[in-house]
Amino acid sequence: MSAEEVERAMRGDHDAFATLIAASANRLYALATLILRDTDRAQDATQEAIVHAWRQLPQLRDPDRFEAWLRRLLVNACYDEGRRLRRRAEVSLLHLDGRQVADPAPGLAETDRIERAFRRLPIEQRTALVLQHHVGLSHTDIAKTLDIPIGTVKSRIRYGTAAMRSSLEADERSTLATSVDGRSV
Amino acid sequence: VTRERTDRALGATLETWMGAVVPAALPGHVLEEAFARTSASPQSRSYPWRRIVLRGRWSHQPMRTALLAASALLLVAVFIGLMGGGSGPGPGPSSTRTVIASASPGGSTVPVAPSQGALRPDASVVVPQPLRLATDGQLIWVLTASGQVVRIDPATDRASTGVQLGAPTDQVQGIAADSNAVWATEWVTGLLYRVDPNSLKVVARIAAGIAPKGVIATGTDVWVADTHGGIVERIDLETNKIGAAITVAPAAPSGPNWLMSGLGSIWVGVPNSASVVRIDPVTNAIQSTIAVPRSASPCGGIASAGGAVWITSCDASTNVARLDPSANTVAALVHLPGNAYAPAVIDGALWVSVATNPGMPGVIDRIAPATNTVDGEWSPGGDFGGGGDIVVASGSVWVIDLGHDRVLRFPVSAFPPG
Repeated sequence: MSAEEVERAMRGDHDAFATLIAASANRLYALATLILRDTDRAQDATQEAIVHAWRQLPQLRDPDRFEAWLRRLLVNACYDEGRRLRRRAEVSLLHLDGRQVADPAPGLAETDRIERAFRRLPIEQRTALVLQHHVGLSHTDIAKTLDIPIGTVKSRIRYGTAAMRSSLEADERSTLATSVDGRSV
Repeated sequence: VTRERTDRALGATLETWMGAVVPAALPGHVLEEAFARTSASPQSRSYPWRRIVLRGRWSHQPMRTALLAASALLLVAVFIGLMGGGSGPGPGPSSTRTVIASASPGGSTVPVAPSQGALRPDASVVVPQPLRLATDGQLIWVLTASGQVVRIDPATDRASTGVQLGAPTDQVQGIAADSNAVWATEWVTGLLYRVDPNSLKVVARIAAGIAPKGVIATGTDVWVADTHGGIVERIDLETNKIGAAITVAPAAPSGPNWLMSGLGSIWVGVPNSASVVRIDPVTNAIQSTIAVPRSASPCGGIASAGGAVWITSCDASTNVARLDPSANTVAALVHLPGNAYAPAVIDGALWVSVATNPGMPGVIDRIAPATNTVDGEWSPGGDFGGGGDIVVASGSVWVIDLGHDRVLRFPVSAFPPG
């Protein structure tokens, strides 16, 4: 990705835009999937972010910040998706909560536990954790990406981590109780 | 200290988990759709007056009203001035929609086409999730969103049991039929399916590139557009293999989409190069690449009527481009009230099923090739889902009612030439 390409896209060159997006699309989709934990919604959010990027590109002030700017559009699109389908998310969460049988494969069971705990977090905390642990951004860069004060970033990460920890511990206690009950029968 | 250590461990676990569950790649069709949307959508540019408005006392209601009134008066004055003071022989009110006399982008839209009233179907055939229609002139074939091909028998107005092409998927794309076979493309596996019209069985699965979309059967040949491969393929009917591959665009999203055979050529819309490519079916050579203005997006269906070739747009653009085959240029743009993807020619006029605004019923519009206007509009019902295919078969016109699991049958006499 070069600044010249970004500038060409800013002037309305769709081929240049397509090249830029083709290089970033998989990263954007990965980010959306992690934040939303729903493939369909992640695809919708990614597509919306790309369309917004094209429309808003002439307003980009610094071509060198294209990648960060695109990431910000993606996060906003994820928030929109999250708001739009919150009700559906609650339903699937209930469905997941109702699943009490432990997975026979330990690796899968662990993945499932993390998934459940992560899904329970508010989308803002999930986003902050994804930007920190998957994208590897510093708190300052997360603050810039989300356009929020750095203190808010820190608190989202702190509370998100704490909630994850509590959730995993509770899940562990519940699994232990189930297996103990299972042995006694 | 223990909590900090636990949090660090949790952070590492999260990092590992995220790396493990993250998807490898964005599905091609999503990128494809995004590019189709962006190529048909203008960029939003900031203009000085926007900044003035934002920084001024714009939020003050009386000021806003006064500014709006002043702008409106100014526009009226400019308009009257352009029309020669309103007394000259300027274009009077038109009773038709359209009308971009030349192919210049951003043309005018205008009054609504005269309503011709209701259109009553002779029959309504139940077909679950119909996507596309094709015909050999007698039978009607429907491609459904569960990846099935269904045959409608015009003698009984009933649909057959569907032929499942592959795994159930809504990523099937195009369908074509002649008396020998029915052909359907599917995006996920990149296959072209050949279905025997009598036994209703899949008789061949042909690897047709990265993302095969449009397909046409001319009676002697079958042509397929590999959208992501940038290629138009000519299928050898004897071997069920690709006999010729014609590169019409770079391998990229939004390449060749839909095809048409007519006026001695094969025509294919290529949205990512904003063009329609014309291929000589004798030599397989590209005869011409016709640029389409940005105010149209050549990703819709193609038809030939009135000695011209017509291609509909998709998504943000709703213009139909008229191509002059002698000059290989776009001669006119006709504005529609919504998207129409598959034009049909009935008695020399071009007909399109139009998806209007969300929540509003669709309509069927007639485009008159003589005037490049939408000169009539019909309503098949208050809940009609517009935007689907139209085909003519067995003396009737068949139209998909999108979203209602049915195909409607109308008498041809309900579609007058104008």
